[in-house]
Amino acid sequence: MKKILIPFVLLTFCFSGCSEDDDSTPQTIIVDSSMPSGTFTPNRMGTFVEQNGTGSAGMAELGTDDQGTQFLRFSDSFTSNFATGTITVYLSESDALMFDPGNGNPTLQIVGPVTSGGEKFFRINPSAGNELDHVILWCGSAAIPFGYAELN
Amino acid sequence: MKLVVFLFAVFTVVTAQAQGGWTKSKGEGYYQISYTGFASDQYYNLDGELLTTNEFAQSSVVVYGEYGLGSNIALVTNFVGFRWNGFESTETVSGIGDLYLAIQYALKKGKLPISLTLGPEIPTGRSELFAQSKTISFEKINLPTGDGEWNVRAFLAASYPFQKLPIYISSHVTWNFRTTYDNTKLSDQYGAGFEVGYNPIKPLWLIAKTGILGSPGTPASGVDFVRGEGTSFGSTDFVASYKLWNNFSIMTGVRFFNDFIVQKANMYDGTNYTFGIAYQLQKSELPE
Repeated sequence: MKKILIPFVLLTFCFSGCSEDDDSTPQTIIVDSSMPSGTFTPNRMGTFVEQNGTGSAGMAELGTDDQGTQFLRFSDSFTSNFATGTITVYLSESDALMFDPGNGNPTLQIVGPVTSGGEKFFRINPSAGNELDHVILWCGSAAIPFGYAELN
Repeated sequence: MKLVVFLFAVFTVVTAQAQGGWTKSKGEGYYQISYTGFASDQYYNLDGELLTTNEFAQSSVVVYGEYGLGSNIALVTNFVGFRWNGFESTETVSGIGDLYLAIQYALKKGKLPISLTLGPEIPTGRSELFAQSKTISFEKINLPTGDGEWNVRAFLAASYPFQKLPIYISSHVTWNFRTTYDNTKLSDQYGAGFEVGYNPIKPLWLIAKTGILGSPGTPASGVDFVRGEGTSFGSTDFVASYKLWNNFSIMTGVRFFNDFIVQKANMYDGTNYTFGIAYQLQKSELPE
């Protein structure tokens, strides 16, 4: 029996713990967590369409508060697959993200991360123009779309 | 016959599961340590649609063992000693994996041996392990090295060595009874396979195998892809093993995926490569 156990014991000791490598510094993005002042009034809204079996659902609304500050609101019924990790929210000109980092990604605007379901507010700064008419849920690490909502 | 048993065990390490009809006799053993890895940006989602994603890479060091406890019973174990996971866009995270510990019982010996292997897979691996994005500070992705749940795997296998040819064939069916992770019941998994082993020269064995893995019913939602929820695929393996000296051998294998019988779903489609060293503990070498 000793002959069976020795390899496992050795491996466990040799490889115990967790190693991680990190050979690059990620871009730091400051997310404005401020909430609407007074009443939030939606101007455009849409329903999330699920992609890739992630269960994304709920409503997205783009509007302003009493001071004219623009916010994106997710409804109480908003949900998605949060077990995988961070979902990054973008405003985009289309239902598919088209990254163009060499030109500053002109067709999209990063909004921030979402890690749980339910109502959410995101301050949009700078304010988004009418050409940004889609909200996209994006798993950035894998580059997999989790869902989108067209704002009308 | 011993060679057939020996090579079968080599093959099982490639697939990381016991699949043969032969059961080790008391005092006999087989041990292997192997390295396996793949990288792919071709991901099939739960609906079977192909997506091109950031490249995902996984590699593992796996220890496999069989040891005969009695005339009809053996201990079988498969331990992912270390596993590395990462996307090209994230750091690589790593840790120990899960431990499979089972009893193999010889239902029938002789020219057509049949065995049943049954045991738990113990969630010794890291069930939550987040990899930091290299590009955006707040992005992380969960790449656990274990599935985080207890499950019980059952294998029913039969083998047949041809008497006048240096060839054997084996087939198996399997069922993986899965339990819950984070209050979510994970789907069971079924599998089946067939293999042929050929011994063209004394120290060399060549093995080919085809098999399927699938999940019945509707997969649970909200489970990250690494836990294998709703995963299905067909696979083909080619393995070569060469006995170097005494009871040591080296082996290498390659695995390709297909969708001939079941669709590819919730899986990265990349060619797997395996390299390993094996040791055969023969009964005749045991101290009297």
